[in-house]
Amino acid sequence: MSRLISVVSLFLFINVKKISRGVIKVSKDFIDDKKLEDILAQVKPTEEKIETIINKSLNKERLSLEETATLLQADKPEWIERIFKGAEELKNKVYGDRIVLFAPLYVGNKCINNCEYCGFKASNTEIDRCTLTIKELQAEVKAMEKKGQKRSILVYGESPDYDADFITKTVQAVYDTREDKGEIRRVNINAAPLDIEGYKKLKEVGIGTYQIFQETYHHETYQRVHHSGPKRDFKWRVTGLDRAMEAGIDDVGIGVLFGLYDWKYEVMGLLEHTIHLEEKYNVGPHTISFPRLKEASNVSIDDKYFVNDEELKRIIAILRLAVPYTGLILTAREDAKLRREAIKLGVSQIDAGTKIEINGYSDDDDEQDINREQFVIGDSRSLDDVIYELLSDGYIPSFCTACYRLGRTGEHFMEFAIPGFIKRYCGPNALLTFKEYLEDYASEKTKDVGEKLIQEKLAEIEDEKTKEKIEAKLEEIENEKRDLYF
Amino acid sequence: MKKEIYTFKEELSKLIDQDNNKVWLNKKASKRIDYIFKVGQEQFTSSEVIGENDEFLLLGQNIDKKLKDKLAILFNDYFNSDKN
Repeated sequence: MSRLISVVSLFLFINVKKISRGVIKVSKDFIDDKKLEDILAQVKPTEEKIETIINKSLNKERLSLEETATLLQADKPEWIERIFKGAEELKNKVYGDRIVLFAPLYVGNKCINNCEYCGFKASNTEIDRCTLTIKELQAEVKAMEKKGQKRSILVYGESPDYDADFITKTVQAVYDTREDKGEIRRVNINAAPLDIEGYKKLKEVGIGTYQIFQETYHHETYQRVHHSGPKRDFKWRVTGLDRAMEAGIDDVGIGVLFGLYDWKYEVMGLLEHTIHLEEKYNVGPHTISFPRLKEASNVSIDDKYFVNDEELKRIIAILRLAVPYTGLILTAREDAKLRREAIKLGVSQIDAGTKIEINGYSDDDDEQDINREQFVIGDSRSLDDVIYELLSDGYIPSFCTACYRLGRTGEHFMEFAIPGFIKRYCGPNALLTFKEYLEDYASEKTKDVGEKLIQEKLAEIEDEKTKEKIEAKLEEIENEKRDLYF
Repeated sequence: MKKEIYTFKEELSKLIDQDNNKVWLNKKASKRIDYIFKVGQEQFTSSEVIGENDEFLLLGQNIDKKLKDKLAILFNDYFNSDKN
């Protein structure tokens, strides 16, 4: 009987979607494979051209498809080295020494799609299917808050059970759950594409970024690896963030699962998507993610297009140069050593203390169970351990959520480009949120190193008035005030 | 409401010194606030609440007391009066 209900609900889900797609005008598929491949084939990198392109990027201008293709085709070791150096310089210029930290929270792994690469695919009968109840979700949030997490991304499979109303309910539950001084102040979403009405519901509950990964921008590959389910519809997915924008959500994230098709083509796809959003809605994606294919339960994938570490570093450096103001996210799929190198090249956000198992945060068991997870994680260190390493490398961990609490988002966020913005807001806010972490959650060794680093950063501030204002707020935090920002 | 927000922006623009003040209107959505429009340039000073109701929030930078009072009256006229 339950099987029959599942089949009927799946039928209804797909057909309701078809009906809504008929009523709502679906935007045009803006990815032209041939165009992207032709550009990649036609560019001829030279030292002079690479230098000019890097200089444009250092002036904080977004690169064109042709310029990005030139960097992608620059295969000589000395050219690659130059690109790495340029990316490092730009990273320092735009983002300074801040690294934003977050943690994913898997809400449910039911899925009606059959994606060749994913452990959650519908045909995988070995995986334990479950969805957190609101009570379980609250327990997870409390466990995260106890560690000091302030920013989370909720992850959902694609299932009729995870519609906009369900997502809305879970977001609200996360925002309402507080453990002592802890609170999750920003909830991002990684879920299936919705229709405009669905996005509007999510906008009402104040989500952060809505993230949809296209996985691959190559149409033929896309059809080959997405065997069945709504995700098989390339156009519905690639225009998913257009509908989000039309619903008023101007804070969106894009991504590719590297390893499905040629990595150079996929970088071009990400840039084409960025340009499309910029041209149509005056605002590009807030973040870009670039996970690589990893081992998962009941998954075997042709490794023809697998991306090695060196190639991943090139992807990060070129993306950094191509889209200077877009946040780059590198997740705990990657191991600690690679993450450390990648941060230098342009990554601005990482997850830490990550658990990708359903009920993973409230469950004390640290062992990964591949039958309850989407993939194997490479960096399973605690939040405190990751922070300690960041501090040792001179980075300031940031849990800042000020921009989205002050309306500095979307088009308004473009003021980020004004010289001084980072120095006056992002740097100080990173210090304030980090100070909260040190006061409430840090281990002794992290606290020692952290306090010293805060003092060093304060000493670097030349403007006395600014320094005094930050010091005053730091003192307020020591006196138990929380959630302060500029 | 769209027309009213547009005229509210027009009225605000008459009061704001584009170079030395900044105000921006936002719509509340739980912990997030959504930017609607701004008048004036970034001042790099702390933001302060100029006007607020259940739905909207007007923030400002470098606004003196006299101007703040005028802006608050305007905000209340558009967003907190019975006609709206």
